[in-house]
Amino acid sequence: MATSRPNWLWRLIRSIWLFFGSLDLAVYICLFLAVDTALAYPLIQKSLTTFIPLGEVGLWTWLTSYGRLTFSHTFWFYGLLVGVTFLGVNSFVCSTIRVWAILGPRRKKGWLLKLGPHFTHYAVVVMLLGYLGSYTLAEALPGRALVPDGPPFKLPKNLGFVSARLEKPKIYAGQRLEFFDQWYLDPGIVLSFKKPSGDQTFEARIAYNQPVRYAGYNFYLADFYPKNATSAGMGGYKTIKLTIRRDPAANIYIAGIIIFAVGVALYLADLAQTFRKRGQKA
Amino acid sequence: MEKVLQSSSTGLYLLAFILAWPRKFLKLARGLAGLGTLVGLGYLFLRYYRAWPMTPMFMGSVAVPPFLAIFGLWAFRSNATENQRLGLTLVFGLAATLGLLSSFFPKDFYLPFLKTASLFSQAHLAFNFLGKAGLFLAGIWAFLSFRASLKPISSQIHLWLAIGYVFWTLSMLTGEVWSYLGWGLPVVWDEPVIVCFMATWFYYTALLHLFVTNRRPKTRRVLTVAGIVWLILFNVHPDLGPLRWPPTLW
Repeated sequence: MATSRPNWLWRLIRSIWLFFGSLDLAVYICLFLAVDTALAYPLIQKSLTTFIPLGEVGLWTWLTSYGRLTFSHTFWFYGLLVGVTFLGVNSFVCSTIRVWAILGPRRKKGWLLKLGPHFTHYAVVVMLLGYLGSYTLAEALPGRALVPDGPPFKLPKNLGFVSARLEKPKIYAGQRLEFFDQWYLDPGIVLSFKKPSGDQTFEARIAYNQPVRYAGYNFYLADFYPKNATSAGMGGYKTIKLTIRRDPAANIYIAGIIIFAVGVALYLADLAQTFRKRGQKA
Repeated sequence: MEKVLQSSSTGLYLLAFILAWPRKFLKLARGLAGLGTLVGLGYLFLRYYRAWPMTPMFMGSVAVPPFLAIFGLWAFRSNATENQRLGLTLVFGLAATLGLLSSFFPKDFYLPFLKTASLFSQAHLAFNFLGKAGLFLAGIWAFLSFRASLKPISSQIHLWLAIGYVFWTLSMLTGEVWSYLGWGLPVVWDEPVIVCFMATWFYYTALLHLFVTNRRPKTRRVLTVAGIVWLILFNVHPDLGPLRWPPTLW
């Protein structure tokens, strides 16, 4: 029975819901975030090294160590966290109120295109959750260096071993930029993964911007030596530096990016239709 | 060769800006700006040709003028109104200013780095030029709105804001994918340019929401014009180097 629900509680929930669904609130939050991140521009330049460990030690550890100890340079980051939390709640509530109206009983023709901005709002929420997951749950293993055709290294949690060998490299062609003449664009590194028993599982080529995935871990090429096909490398050794990360939330923010792109496409289609109609009227 | 092309392009925009003031030379000014755009695109082609498959660095101010001029020549294609003429003049003036900034504060001597050899890095930069050009044009339309009837111009401000914002967002998303593939993180926090990028995205997100509310027309216009200054401070300035006097023009 509706009468059994305390009226004051219902009114309170409703007013909180409407407060968070306000477009004005979105404007104020975004302006706050714009000023907050603009302040970060000179502050990051002053303390570049403070922010480097953020991706390695995780968000909470960073906030309670590096962030807290250099608060005069990192306060904007705390502001950013508060701001994006409000933005996430605002985006969700704001869109839910409007999607309800679009899909409700008085649904109008062309309703799908009207959902474009709301797709982007929900995508923002998904992406923010993905980032939060990524910076809190991701696991980064200490940097590893491999020597091509050298000994393998053992992966954690008894996942096996990884070693490297070299294939045909891709070299910067010509002398368009003299400095890069004969530089490796892709040194042709192939990673070989073996189970603890010694059975080979698979091989994959790794390069910059081309990570390799194995047993839930992503292997990124961080650096390699020598850089140049005509030099022998540091002390004559060929070295490959890898970054190894396990990021269970990566798929969430990638899904957010895809939803955002769909929303932008719908929004553009709607905008084009609106301007076409205006043109016809004129 | 690149320097000659960039300086010539800037010179042509400057000439177009001066000639566009008296109405009788407007056609000539358009022609000069068109030529400046072709020369500017030639400069961009050379920068890309040298760096390919890597992405050329610090193009934030030098690459925008040709795209701004293309958008401007299209948006103000009619000679009919005084507003169209003034709009075009401001476009040429802004293109020349960005070109001059790049000549006096060059940063084009930086070499690209290997991780920029990625389709996502290329897309990130290209969308950035288009986004910046669109947002600059929205600012110019907003400026015009202070001296003419608002109604027809308001939709133009909204249109160019939307175009610029969409490209800016696409630039941000492709940048995130590149960052994830290259570093394993969606945001590299120790790079100040990235937070500037985010700051501008938040600024224009606020502005677009303000347009959706359809209230406070004057605030909307003031903030859209202020967006030009914001873009120069936070998105052009990081791509500028120290003052070089006399400037290297060739």
